[in-house]
Amino acid sequence: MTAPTTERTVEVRADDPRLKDRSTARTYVALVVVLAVAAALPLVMGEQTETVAVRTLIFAIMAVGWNLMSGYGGMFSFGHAAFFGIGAYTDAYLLVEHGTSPWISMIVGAAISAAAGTFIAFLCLRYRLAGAYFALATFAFAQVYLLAVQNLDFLRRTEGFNVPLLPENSWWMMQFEQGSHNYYWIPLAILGLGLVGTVAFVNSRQGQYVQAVRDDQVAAASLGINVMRVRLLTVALSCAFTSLAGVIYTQYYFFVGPEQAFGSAVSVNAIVPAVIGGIGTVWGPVVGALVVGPLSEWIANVLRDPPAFLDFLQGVAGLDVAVYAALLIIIVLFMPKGIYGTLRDRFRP
Amino acid sequence: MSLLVVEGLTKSFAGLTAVSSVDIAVEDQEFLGIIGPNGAGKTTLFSLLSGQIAPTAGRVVFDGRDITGWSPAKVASAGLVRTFQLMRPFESMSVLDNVAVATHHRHRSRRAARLHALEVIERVRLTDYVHAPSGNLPTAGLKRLELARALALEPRVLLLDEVLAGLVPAERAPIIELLREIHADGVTVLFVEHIMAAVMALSQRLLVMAEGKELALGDPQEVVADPRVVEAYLGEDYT
Repeated sequence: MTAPTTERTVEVRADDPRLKDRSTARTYVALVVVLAVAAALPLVMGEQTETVAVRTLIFAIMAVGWNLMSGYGGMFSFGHAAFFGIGAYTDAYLLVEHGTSPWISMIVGAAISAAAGTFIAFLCLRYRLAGAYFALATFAFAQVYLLAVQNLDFLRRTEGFNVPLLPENSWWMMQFEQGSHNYYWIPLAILGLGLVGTVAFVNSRQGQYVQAVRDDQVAAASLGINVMRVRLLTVALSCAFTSLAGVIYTQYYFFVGPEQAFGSAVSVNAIVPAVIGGIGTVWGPVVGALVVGPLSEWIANVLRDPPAFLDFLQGVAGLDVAVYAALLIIIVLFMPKGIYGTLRDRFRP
Repeated sequence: MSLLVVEGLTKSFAGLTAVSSVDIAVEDQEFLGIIGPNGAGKTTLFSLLSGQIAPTAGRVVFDGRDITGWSPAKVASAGLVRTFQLMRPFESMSVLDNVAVATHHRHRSRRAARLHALEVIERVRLTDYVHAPSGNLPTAGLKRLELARALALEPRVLLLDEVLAGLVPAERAPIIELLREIHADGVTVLFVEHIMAAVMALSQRLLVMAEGKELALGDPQEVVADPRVVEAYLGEDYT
Protein backbone atom coordinates (compact mmCIF):
# COMPACT_ATOMS: atom_id res chain seq x y z
CA MET A 1 0.00 0.00 0.00
CA THR A 2 1.38 3.37 -0.94
CA ALA A 3 0.79 6.25 1.38
CA PRO A 4 -1.68 8.32 -0.59
CA THR A 5 -1.62 11.40 1.60
CA THR A 6 2.04 12.21 1.25
CA GLU A 7 1.83 13.51 -2.31
CA ARG A 8 0.90 17.04 -1.45
CA THR A 9 2.85 17.05 1.76
CA VAL A 10 4.96 20.11 2.29
CA GLU A 11 8.57 19.13 2.72
CA VAL A 12 9.85 20.07 6.15
CA ARG A 13 13.60 20.07 6.62
CA ALA A 14 14.99 17.97 9.42
CA ASP A 15 16.74 21.03 10.87
CA ASP A 16 13.56 23.12 10.95
CA PRO A 17 13.91 25.34 14.03
CA ARG A 18 10.34 24.57 15.08
CA LEU A 19 11.42 20.98 15.81
CA LYS A 20 14.01 22.03 18.38
CA ASP A 21 12.97 20.79 21.78
CA ARG A 22 14.66 23.36 24.00
CA SER A 23 12.68 22.63 27.13
CA THR A 24 13.77 18.98 27.24
CA ALA A 25 17.38 19.97 26.62
CA ARG A 26 17.12 22.54 29.42
CA THR A 27 15.66 19.94 31.77
CA TYR A 28 18.59 17.59 31.18
CA VAL A 29 21.08 20.40 31.84
CA ALA A 30 19.24 21.41 35.01
CA LEU A 31 19.24 17.76 36.13
CA VAL A 32 23.00 17.48 35.77
CA VAL A 33 23.56 20.73 37.67
CA VAL A 34 21.14 19.89 40.49
CA LEU A 35 22.52 16.37 40.91
CA ALA A 36 26.10 17.64 40.94
CA VAL A 37 25.27 20.20 43.63
CA ALA A 38 23.30 17.62 45.62
CA ALA A 39 26.21 15.17 45.39
CA ALA A 40 28.53 17.75 46.96
CA LEU A 41 26.20 18.55 49.87
CA PRO A 42 27.39 15.83 52.33
CA LEU A 43 30.77 17.57 52.40
CA VAL A 44 29.14 20.54 54.12
CA MET A 45 26.15 18.91 55.87
CA GLY A 46 26.17 17.84 59.49
CA GLU A 47 25.38 14.25 60.37
CA GLN A 48 21.94 15.18 61.69
CA THR A 49 21.08 17.03 58.46
CA GLU A 50 22.28 14.11 56.42
CA THR A 51 19.79 11.79 58.14
CA VAL A 52 17.02 14.17 57.09
CA ALA A 53 18.47 14.30 53.59
CA VAL A 54 18.37 10.50 53.25
CA ARG A 55 14.78 10.49 54.46
CA THR A 56 14.01 13.18 51.87
CA LEU A 57 15.65 11.12 49.12
CA ILE A 58 13.53 8.09 50.02
CA PHE A 59 10.40 10.25 49.81
CA ALA A 60 11.55 11.63 46.46
CA ILE A 61 12.22 8.18 44.96
CA MET A 62 8.77 6.95 45.97
CA ALA A 63 7.12 10.08 44.64
CA VAL A 64 9.00 9.96 41.32
CA GLY A 65 7.76 6.39 40.86
CA TRP A 66 4.21 7.29 41.89
CA ASN A 67 4.23 10.30 39.55
CA LEU A 68 4.90 8.16 36.46
CA MET A 69 1.70 6.20 36.85
CA SER A 70 -0.51 8.74 38.62
CA GLY A 71 0.81 11.99 37.18
CA TYR A 72 1.75 11.17 33.60
CA GLY A 73 -0.44 8.09 33.36
CA GLY A 74 -3.49 9.60 35.07
CA MET A 75 -4.08 6.43 37.11
CA PHE A 76 -4.20 7.66 40.69
CA SER A 77 -2.63 5.08 42.98
CA PHE A 78 -3.49 5.17 46.63
CA GLY A 79 -1.64 1.91 47.23
CA HIS A 80 2.01 2.53 46.43
CA ALA A 81 2.87 1.14 49.87
CA ALA A 82 2.41 -2.23 48.19
CA PHE A 83 5.42 -1.64 45.95
CA PHE A 84 7.56 0.13 48.52
CA GLY A 85 6.79 -2.79 50.81
CA ILE A 86 7.64 -5.41 48.22
CA GLY A 87 11.04 -3.75 47.75
CA ALA A 88 11.66 -3.48 51.49
CA TYR A 89 10.59 -7.04 52.23
CA THR A 90 12.32 -8.61 49.24
CA ASP A 91 15.55 -7.07 50.44
CA ALA A 92 14.99 -7.99 54.10
CA TYR A 93 13.95 -11.55 53.34
CA LEU A 94 16.67 -12.34 50.81
CA LEU A 95 19.33 -10.71 52.98
CA VAL A 96 18.37 -12.36 56.25
CA GLU A 97 17.45 -15.78 54.91
CA HIS A 98 19.86 -16.12 52.00
CA GLY A 99 22.55 -13.47 52.45
CA THR A 100 21.68 -11.97 49.08
CA SER A 101 23.17 -8.63 48.03
CA PRO A 102 20.74 -5.67 48.14
CA TRP A 103 21.71 -4.89 44.55
CA ILE A 104 20.30 -8.25 43.52
CA SER A 105 17.27 -7.62 45.74
CA MET A 106 16.65 -4.36 43.91
CA ILE A 107 16.32 -6.25 40.64
CA VAL A 108 14.21 -9.03 42.16
CA GLY A 109 12.03 -6.56 44.11
CA ALA A 110 11.52 -4.36 41.07
CA ALA A 111 10.49 -7.36 38.98
CA ILE A 112 8.02 -8.59 41.62
CA SER A 113 6.63 -5.07 42.05
CA ALA A 114 6.21 -4.60 38.32
CA ALA A 115 4.39 -7.94 38.08
CA ALA A 116 2.18 -7.22 41.10
CA GLY A 117 1.37 -3.70 39.90
CA THR A 118 0.59 -4.86 36.40
CA PHE A 119 -1.73 -7.53 37.77
CA ILE A 120 -3.63 -5.05 39.98
CA ALA A 121 -3.84 -2.44 37.24
CA PHE A 122 -4.97 -5.00 34.69
CA LEU A 123 -7.88 -6.03 36.91
CA CYS A 124 -8.81 -2.41 37.64
CA LEU A 125 -8.63 -1.33 34.01
CA ARG A 126 -10.24 -4.49 32.68
CA TYR A 127 -13.29 -3.72 34.83
CA ARG A 128 -13.08 -0.05 33.90
CA LEU A 129 -12.35 1.38 37.31
CA ALA A 130 -11.31 5.00 37.05
CA GLY A 131 -10.70 7.97 39.31
CA ALA A 132 -11.68 7.40 42.94
CA TYR A 133 -12.64 3.77 42.28
CA PHE A 134 -9.24 3.00 40.80
CA ALA A 135 -7.56 4.70 43.78
CA LEU A 136 -9.67 2.73 46.26
CA ALA A 137 -8.91 -0.54 44.52
CA THR A 138 -5.17 0.08 44.70
CA PHE A 139 -5.59 0.99 48.38
CA ALA A 140 -7.44 -2.27 48.99
CA PHE A 141 -4.71 -4.31 47.33
CA ALA A 142 -2.05 -2.65 49.48
CA GLN A 143 -4.07 -3.51 52.58
CA VAL A 144 -4.30 -7.10 51.40
CA TYR A 145 -0.51 -7.25 51.17
CA LEU A 146 -0.24 -5.78 54.68
CA LEU A 147 -2.54 -8.44 56.07
CA ALA A 148 -0.81 -11.16 54.11
CA VAL A 149 2.61 -10.20 55.48
CA GLN A 150 1.23 -10.04 59.02
CA ASN A 151 -0.01 -13.58 58.65
CA LEU A 152 2.81 -15.28 56.79
CA ASP A 153 5.29 -17.18 58.92
CA PHE A 154 8.12 -17.00 56.41
CA LEU A 155 7.82 -13.19 56.50
CA ARG A 156 7.85 -13.30 60.33
CA ARG A 157 4.32 -11.94 60.71
CA THR A 158 4.22 -8.73 62.77
CA GLU A 159 7.76 -9.16 64.04
CA GLY A 160 9.55 -7.81 60.97
CA PHE A 161 13.18 -8.28 59.94
CA ASN A 162 16.36 -6.90 61.47
CA VAL A 163 19.25 -6.47 59.07
CA PRO A 164 22.31 -8.24 60.50
CA LEU A 165 25.27 -5.92 61.04
CA LEU A 166 28.49 -6.70 59.22
CA PRO A 167 31.90 -6.21 60.84
CA GLU A 168 33.24 -4.23 57.86
CA ASN A 169 32.14 -1.86 55.09
CA SER A 170 30.81 -3.59 51.98
CA TRP A 171 29.56 -2.06 48.74
CA TRP A 172 28.28 -5.45 47.67
CA MET A 173 26.13 -5.74 50.80
CA MET A 174 25.41 -1.99 50.83
CA GLN A 175 26.52 -1.60 54.41
CA PHE A 176 28.83 1.12 55.69
CA GLU A 177 29.91 2.59 59.02
CA GLN A 178 27.37 4.90 60.62
CA GLY A 179 27.34 8.35 59.06
CA SER A 180 28.93 7.19 55.81
CA HIS A 181 28.08 9.47 52.89
CA ASN A 182 27.45 6.39 50.79
CA TYR A 183 24.06 6.13 52.48
CA TYR A 184 23.27 9.47 50.88
CA TRP A 185 24.97 9.01 47.53
CA ILE A 186 23.34 5.68 46.70
CA PRO A 187 19.72 6.94 46.94
CA LEU A 188 20.79 10.18 45.24
CA ALA A 189 22.13 8.18 42.29
CA ILE A 190 18.90 6.17 42.16
CA LEU A 191 16.84 9.37 42.26
CA GLY A 192 18.98 10.82 39.47
CA LEU A 193 18.40 7.70 37.42
CA GLY A 194 14.66 8.02 38.06
CA LEU A 195 14.57 11.66 36.99
CA VAL A 196 16.58 11.08 33.82
CA GLY A 197 14.38 8.05 33.19
CA THR A 198 11.25 10.14 33.68
CA VAL A 199 12.36 12.76 31.14
CA ALA A 200 13.38 10.07 28.66
CA PHE A 201 10.13 8.16 29.12
CA VAL A 202 7.89 11.21 28.89
CA ASN A 203 9.56 12.11 25.59
CA SER A 204 9.45 8.61 24.16
CA ARG A 205 6.75 7.15 21.98
CA GLN A 206 5.15 5.16 24.80
CA GLY A 207 5.40 8.16 27.14
CA GLN A 208 3.59 10.35 24.63
CA TYR A 209 1.00 7.63 24.14
CA VAL A 210 0.23 7.30 27.84
CA GLN A 211 -0.20 11.07 28.20
CA ALA A 212 -2.54 11.06 25.21
CA VAL A 213 -4.52 8.26 26.86
CA ARG A 214 -4.65 10.25 30.10
CA ASP A 215 -6.00 13.29 28.25
CA ASP A 216 -8.57 11.44 26.15
CA GLN A 217 -8.75 7.68 26.12
CA VAL A 218 -11.30 7.43 23.30
CA ALA A 219 -9.39 9.75 20.99
CA ALA A 220 -6.15 7.93 21.74
CA ALA A 221 -7.67 4.55 20.90
CA SER A 222 -9.09 5.92 17.66
CA LEU A 223 -5.53 6.89 16.67
CA GLY A 224 -4.42 3.28 16.93
CA ILE A 225 -3.00 3.33 20.46
CA ASN A 226 -3.29 0.12 22.44
CA VAL A 227 -4.61 1.78 25.59
CA MET A 228 -4.27 -1.20 27.94
CA ARG A 229 -0.74 -2.05 26.88
CA VAL A 230 0.72 1.42 27.27
CA ARG A 231 -1.00 1.91 30.62
CA LEU A 232 0.31 -1.38 31.99
CA LEU A 233 3.80 -0.54 30.80
CA THR A 234 3.65 2.75 32.70
CA VAL A 235 2.34 1.02 35.82
CA ALA A 236 5.15 -1.53 35.66
CA LEU A 237 7.81 1.21 35.46
CA SER A 238 6.18 3.15 38.28
CA CYS A 239 5.90 0.19 40.64
CA ALA A 240 9.38 -1.12 39.86
CA PHE A 241 10.97 2.24 40.62
CA THR A 242 9.04 2.82 43.84
CA SER A 243 10.20 -0.57 45.12
CA LEU A 244 13.81 0.68 45.01
CA ALA A 245 12.91 3.16 47.77
CA GLY A 246 11.87 0.18 49.89
CA VAL A 247 15.25 -1.51 49.47
CA ILE A 248 17.04 1.72 50.49
CA TYR A 249 14.75 2.02 53.50
CA THR A 250 15.58 -1.45 54.81
CA GLN A 251 19.30 -0.94 54.22
CA TYR A 252 19.36 2.47 55.92
CA TYR A 253 17.17 1.81 58.96
CA PHE A 254 18.31 -1.83 59.47
CA PHE A 255 14.76 -2.83 60.29
CA VAL A 256 11.49 -3.28 58.47
CA GLY A 257 8.10 -4.35 59.79
CA PRO A 258 4.69 -4.65 58.13
CA GLU A 259 3.49 -1.14 59.02
CA GLN A 260 6.71 0.59 57.94
CA ALA A 261 6.55 -1.24 54.61
CA PHE A 262 2.90 -1.74 53.73
CA GLY A 263 1.01 0.66 56.04
CA SER A 264 -1.38 3.12 54.45
CA ALA A 265 0.78 5.97 55.78
CA VAL A 266 3.46 4.77 53.34
CA SER A 267 1.07 5.21 50.42
CA VAL A 268 0.40 8.73 51.64
CA ASN A 269 4.16 9.33 51.74
CA ALA A 270 4.38 8.53 48.03
CA ILE A 271 1.49 10.82 47.12
CA VAL A 272 2.04 13.90 49.26
CA PRO A 273 5.42 15.04 47.86
CA ALA A 274 4.19 14.71 44.28
CA VAL A 275 0.97 16.58 44.99
CA ILE A 276 2.72 19.34 46.92
CA GLY A 277 5.44 19.71 44.31
CA GLY A 278 3.29 19.25 41.21
CA ILE A 279 1.71 16.15 39.70
CA GLY A 280 2.82 15.21 36.20
CA THR A 281 5.96 17.36 36.27
CA VAL A 282 9.56 16.18 36.39
CA TRP A 283 10.58 18.36 39.33
CA GLY A 284 7.35 18.26 41.33
CA PRO A 285 8.14 15.10 43.36
CA VAL A 286 11.62 16.42 44.21
CA VAL A 287 10.38 19.86 45.29
CA GLY A 288 7.62 18.22 47.32
CA ALA A 289 10.05 15.81 48.98
CA LEU A 290 12.23 18.77 49.99
CA VAL A 291 9.21 20.09 51.90
CA VAL A 292 7.89 16.81 53.29
CA GLY A 293 11.23 15.23 54.24
CA PRO A 294 12.40 17.94 56.67
CA LEU A 295 8.83 18.47 57.86
CA SER A 296 8.38 14.82 58.80
CA GLU A 297 11.68 14.90 60.67
CA TRP A 298 10.61 18.03 62.54
CA ILE A 299 7.28 16.46 63.48
CA ALA A 300 9.02 13.33 64.71
CA ASN A 301 11.28 15.47 66.93
CA VAL A 302 8.37 17.47 68.29
CA LEU A 303 6.56 14.29 69.21
CA ARG A 304 9.61 12.75 70.81
CA ASP A 305 10.49 15.80 72.86
CA PRO A 306 7.81 18.50 72.66
CA PRO A 307 8.49 22.04 73.88
CA ALA A 308 6.67 22.99 77.10
CA PHE A 309 3.64 24.63 75.49
CA LEU A 310 3.09 21.59 73.26
CA ASP A 311 3.63 18.93 75.91
CA PHE A 312 0.14 17.56 75.35
CA LEU A 313 1.55 16.15 72.10
CA GLN A 314 3.92 13.83 73.97
CA GLY A 315 3.49 10.38 72.50
CA VAL A 316 0.60 11.39 70.23
CA ALA A 317 0.68 9.36 67.05
CA GLY A 318 -0.57 10.56 63.68
CA LEU A 319 0.36 14.22 64.00
CA ASP A 320 2.40 13.94 60.82
CA VAL A 321 -0.65 12.83 58.87
CA ALA A 322 -2.67 15.73 60.31
CA VAL A 323 0.01 18.22 59.28
CA TYR A 324 0.23 16.69 55.78
CA ALA A 325 -3.53 16.98 55.46
CA ALA A 326 -3.46 20.66 56.43
CA LEU A 327 -0.58 21.25 54.00
CA LEU A 328 -2.41 19.44 51.21
CA ILE A 329 -5.53 21.55 51.74
CA ILE A 330 -3.48 24.74 51.56
CA ILE A 331 -1.66 23.58 48.43
CA VAL A 332 -4.79 22.41 46.65
CA LEU A 333 -6.55 25.68 47.46
CA PHE A 334 -3.79 28.08 46.52
CA MET A 335 -1.52 26.12 44.18
CA PRO A 336 -3.60 23.43 42.50
CA LYS A 337 -0.70 22.52 40.23
CA GLY A 338 1.70 22.19 43.15
CA ILE A 339 4.60 24.43 44.08
CA TYR A 340 6.71 23.64 41.02
CA GLY A 341 3.77 23.42 38.60
CA THR A 342 2.42 26.81 39.67
CA LEU A 343 5.79 28.55 39.53
CA ARG A 344 6.56 27.05 36.14
CA ASP A 345 3.29 28.28 34.67
CA ARG A 346 3.87 31.75 36.11
CA PHE A 347 7.31 32.14 34.58
CA ARG A 348 6.74 30.30 31.32
CA PRO A 349 7.22 32.60 28.31
CA MET B 1 -14.78 -6.16 -4.35
CA SER B 2 -15.71 -2.95 -2.56
CA LEU B 3 -13.21 -1.53 -0.08
CA LEU B 4 -15.68 -1.29 2.78
CA VAL B 5 -18.72 -3.57 2.97
CA VAL B 6 -21.34 -3.23 5.66
CA GLU B 7 -23.89 -6.04 5.95
CA GLY B 8 -27.02 -5.98 8.08
CA LEU B 9 -25.34 -3.74 10.63
CA THR B 10 -27.61 -3.24 13.64
CA LYS B 11 -27.17 -1.61 17.02
CA SER B 12 -29.87 -1.66 19.70
CA PHE B 13 -29.63 0.18 22.99
CA ALA B 14 -32.16 -0.96 25.59
CA GLY B 15 -35.30 -0.77 23.48
CA LEU B 16 -34.01 1.73 20.93
CA THR B 17 -32.60 0.61 17.61
CA ALA B 18 -30.11 3.31 16.67
CA VAL B 19 -28.88 1.56 13.54
CA SER B 20 -31.12 -0.98 11.89
CA SER B 21 -29.77 -3.51 9.37
CA VAL B 22 -27.78 -1.09 7.26
CA ASP B 23 -26.10 -2.41 4.10
CA ILE B 24 -23.55 -0.29 2.27
CA ALA B 25 -20.73 -1.05 -0.12
CA VAL B 26 -18.19 1.76 -0.36
CA GLU B 27 -15.86 1.65 -3.35
CA ASP B 28 -12.17 2.38 -3.17
CA GLN B 29 -11.48 6.14 -3.49
CA GLU B 30 -15.15 6.99 -3.31
CA PHE B 31 -16.50 10.12 -1.59
CA LEU B 32 -19.74 9.11 0.11
CA GLY B 33 -21.87 11.80 1.72
CA ILE B 34 -24.14 10.80 4.58
CA ILE B 35 -27.02 13.01 5.67
CA GLY B 36 -30.09 12.62 7.80
CA PRO B 37 -31.95 14.25 10.69
CA ASN B 38 -30.50 14.28 14.18
CA GLY B 39 -30.85 10.86 15.77
CA ALA B 40 -30.82 9.10 12.40
CA GLY B 41 -27.88 6.96 13.51
CA LYS B 42 -25.06 8.58 11.53
CA THR B 43 -22.63 8.94 14.42
CA THR B 44 -23.60 5.52 15.78
CA LEU B 45 -22.81 4.08 12.36
CA PHE B 46 -19.32 5.63 12.55
CA SER B 47 -18.84 4.28 16.07
CA LEU B 48 -19.78 0.81 14.82
CA LEU B 49 -17.43 1.00 11.83
CA SER B 50 -14.51 2.23 13.91
CA GLY B 51 -14.98 -0.25 16.74
CA GLN B 52 -15.96 2.13 19.54
CA ILE B 53 -19.13 0.12 20.05
CA ALA B 54 -19.90 -3.46 19.11
CA PRO B 55 -22.85 -4.16 16.81
CA THR B 56 -25.86 -6.17 17.94
CA ALA B 57 -25.91 -7.88 14.56
CA GLY B 58 -24.28 -7.69 11.15
CA ARG B 59 -20.69 -7.35 10.03
CA VAL B 60 -18.13 -4.95 8.64
CA VAL B 61 -15.63 -6.08 6.02
CA PHE B 62 -12.73 -3.75 5.28
CA ASP B 63 -10.31 -4.51 2.47
CA GLY B 64 -11.39 -8.14 2.45
CA ARG B 65 -11.02 -8.63 6.20
CA ASP B 66 -13.92 -9.03 8.61
CA ILE B 67 -13.20 -6.32 11.20
CA THR B 68 -16.41 -6.72 13.19
CA GLY B 69 -15.62 -6.62 16.90
CA TRP B 70 -12.07 -5.30 16.44
CA SER B 71 -10.86 -2.76 18.97
CA PRO B 72 -10.79 0.89 17.86
CA ALA B 73 -6.98 0.84 17.98
CA LYS B 74 -6.81 -2.17 15.68
CA VAL B 75 -9.32 -0.72 13.23
CA ALA B 76 -7.42 2.58 13.11
CA SER B 77 -4.12 0.76 12.60
CA ALA B 78 -5.66 -1.14 9.71
CA GLY B 79 -6.35 2.17 7.96
CA LEU B 80 -9.95 3.05 8.87
CA VAL B 81 -9.75 6.29 10.84
CA ARG B 82 -12.49 8.51 12.23
CA THR B 83 -12.75 12.06 13.51
CA PHE B 84 -15.09 13.20 16.26
CA GLN B 85 -17.91 15.67 15.94
CA LEU B 86 -17.06 17.05 19.39
CA MET B 87 -13.35 17.69 19.11
CA ARG B 88 -11.17 15.65 21.43
CA PRO B 89 -7.70 17.21 21.59
CA PHE B 90 -5.05 15.95 24.02
CA GLU B 91 -5.27 19.14 26.03
CA SER B 92 -1.99 18.94 27.90
CA MET B 93 -0.09 18.78 24.61
CA SER B 94 0.84 21.28 21.95
CA VAL B 95 -0.68 21.02 18.50
CA LEU B 96 2.59 19.54 17.24
CA ASP B 97 2.61 16.79 19.88
CA ASN B 98 -1.07 16.04 19.33
CA VAL B 99 -0.34 15.23 15.72
CA ALA B 100 2.93 13.50 16.62
CA VAL B 101 0.92 11.02 18.72
CA ALA B 102 -0.56 9.87 15.42
CA THR B 103 2.67 9.97 13.41
CA HIS B 104 4.41 7.96 16.14
CA HIS B 105 2.46 5.09 14.67
CA ARG B 106 5.05 4.98 11.91
CA HIS B 107 8.04 6.45 13.70
CA ARG B 108 9.60 5.21 16.88
CA SER B 109 11.79 8.29 17.37
CA ARG B 110 10.20 11.45 18.70
CA ARG B 111 12.20 13.53 16.27
CA ALA B 112 10.96 11.70 13.19
CA ALA B 113 7.40 11.69 14.51
CA ARG B 114 7.48 15.45 15.08
CA LEU B 115 9.04 16.10 11.68
CA HIS B 116 6.30 14.14 9.97
CA ALA B 117 3.68 15.82 12.21
CA LEU B 118 4.92 19.23 11.14
CA GLU B 119 4.38 18.27 7.50
CA VAL B 120 0.80 17.29 8.24
CA ILE B 121 0.27 20.53 10.17
CA GLU B 122 1.55 22.52 7.20
CA ARG B 123 -0.81 20.62 5.02
CA VAL B 124 -3.94 21.43 7.06
CA ARG B 125 -2.60 24.97 7.46
CA LEU B 126 -2.39 25.04 11.22
CA THR B 127 1.11 26.45 10.89
CA ASP B 128 0.47 29.43 13.15
CA TYR B 129 -0.40 27.16 16.06
CA VAL B 130 2.42 24.59 15.98
CA HIS B 131 3.48 25.15 19.59
CA ALA B 132 0.16 26.39 20.96
CA PRO B 133 -1.44 24.31 23.71
CA SER B 134 -4.22 22.47 21.94
CA GLY B 135 -6.71 23.42 24.65
CA ASN B 136 -6.43 27.06 23.59
CA LEU B 137 -7.34 26.59 19.93
CA PRO B 138 -10.45 28.21 18.49
CA THR B 139 -13.12 25.87 17.08
CA ALA B 140 -11.84 26.15 13.52
CA GLY B 141 -8.37 25.21 14.74
CA LEU B 142 -9.66 22.23 16.69
CA LYS B 143 -11.50 20.98 13.60
CA ARG B 144 -8.28 21.17 11.62
CA LEU B 145 -6.45 19.42 14.44
CA GLU B 146 -8.97 16.56 14.39
CA LEU B 147 -8.40 16.30 10.66
CA ALA B 148 -4.63 16.54 11.00
CA ARG B 149 -4.43 13.71 13.54
CA ALA B 150 -6.58 11.47 11.39
CA LEU B 151 -4.59 12.30 8.24
CA ALA B 152 -1.34 11.71 10.07
CA LEU B 153 -2.22 8.02 10.29
CA GLU B 154 -2.27 7.93 6.46
CA PRO B 155 -5.65 6.25 6.37
CA ARG B 156 -7.23 4.48 3.43
CA VAL B 157 -10.69 5.37 4.68
CA LEU B 158 -11.56 8.54 6.58
CA LEU B 159 -14.80 8.80 8.54
CA LEU B 160 -15.47 12.51 8.96
CA ASP B 161 -18.15 13.38 11.50
CA GLU B 162 -19.35 16.95 10.95
CA VAL B 163 -15.95 18.54 10.42
CA LEU B 164 -17.68 21.72 9.26
CA ALA B 165 -20.14 22.09 12.14
CA GLY B 166 -19.57 25.19 14.22
CA LEU B 167 -17.59 26.97 11.51
CA VAL B 168 -18.63 30.21 9.87
CA PRO B 169 -18.88 30.07 6.06
CA ALA B 170 -15.53 31.81 5.59
CA GLU B 171 -13.87 29.08 7.64
CA ARG B 172 -15.63 26.30 5.75
CA ALA B 173 -14.31 27.03 2.27
CA PRO B 174 -10.65 26.18 2.96
CA ILE B 175 -11.63 22.97 4.74
CA ILE B 176 -13.83 21.94 1.84
CA GLU B 177 -10.88 22.61 -0.46
CA LEU B 178 -8.67 20.51 1.80
CA LEU B 179 -11.16 17.63 1.76
CA ARG B 180 -11.18 17.77 -2.02
CA GLU B 181 -7.38 17.47 -2.01
CA ILE B 182 -7.43 14.59 0.43
CA HIS B 183 -9.92 12.75 -1.74
CA ALA B 184 -7.96 13.51 -4.88
CA ASP B 185 -4.92 11.96 -3.23
CA GLY B 186 -6.73 8.64 -3.12
CA VAL B 187 -8.35 8.54 0.31
CA THR B 188 -11.83 7.05 0.53
CA VAL B 189 -14.08 9.39 2.51
CA LEU B 190 -17.34 8.88 4.40
CA PHE B 191 -18.66 12.34 5.09
CA VAL B 192 -21.38 12.97 7.65
CA GLU B 193 -22.46 16.59 7.37
CA HIS B 194 -25.41 18.96 7.67
CA ILE B 195 -24.00 21.71 5.46
CA MET B 196 -25.73 20.71 2.22
CA ALA B 197 -23.64 22.95 -0.04
CA ALA B 198 -20.53 21.06 1.04
CA VAL B 199 -22.22 17.68 0.80
CA MET B 200 -23.38 18.40 -2.74
CA ALA B 201 -20.05 19.86 -3.80
CA LEU B 202 -18.01 16.89 -2.64
CA SER B 203 -20.13 13.72 -2.65
CA GLN B 204 -20.05 11.24 -5.50
CA ARG B 205 -22.86 9.25 -3.92
CA LEU B 206 -25.20 10.27 -1.16
CA LEU B 207 -26.67 8.12 1.62
CA VAL B 208 -29.69 9.42 3.50
CA MET B 209 -30.39 7.86 6.89
CA ALA B 210 -33.57 8.19 8.94
CA GLU B 211 -34.49 6.33 12.10
CA GLY B 212 -31.45 4.12 11.84
CA LYS B 213 -32.23 2.92 8.33
CA GLU B 214 -31.13 3.71 4.82
CA LEU B 215 -33.76 5.99 3.32
CA ALA B 216 -32.07 6.59 -0.01
CA LEU B 217 -28.72 5.96 -1.63
CA GLY B 218 -27.40 7.03 -5.00
CA ASP B 219 -26.51 9.98 -7.17
CA PRO B 220 -26.64 13.12 -4.98
CA GLN B 221 -28.80 15.14 -7.38
CA GLU B 222 -31.35 12.36 -7.71
CA VAL B 223 -31.36 11.62 -3.99
CA VAL B 224 -32.10 15.20 -2.92
CA ALA B 225 -34.96 15.31 -5.39
CA ASP B 226 -36.51 12.20 -3.83
CA PRO B 227 -39.78 13.26 -2.14
CA ARG B 228 -39.13 10.92 0.82
CA VAL B 229 -35.79 12.64 1.46
CA VAL B 230 -37.35 16.06 1.17
CA GLU B 231 -40.00 15.08 3.68
CA ALA B 232 -37.72 13.36 6.16
CA TYR B 233 -34.82 15.76 6.18
CA LEU B 234 -34.48 18.57 3.71
CA GLY B 235 -37.89 20.19 4.01
CA GLU B 236 -39.96 21.70 1.21
CA ASP B 237 -37.72 24.75 0.84
CA TYR B 238 -34.70 22.88 -0.42
CA THR B 239 -34.23 23.08 -4.14
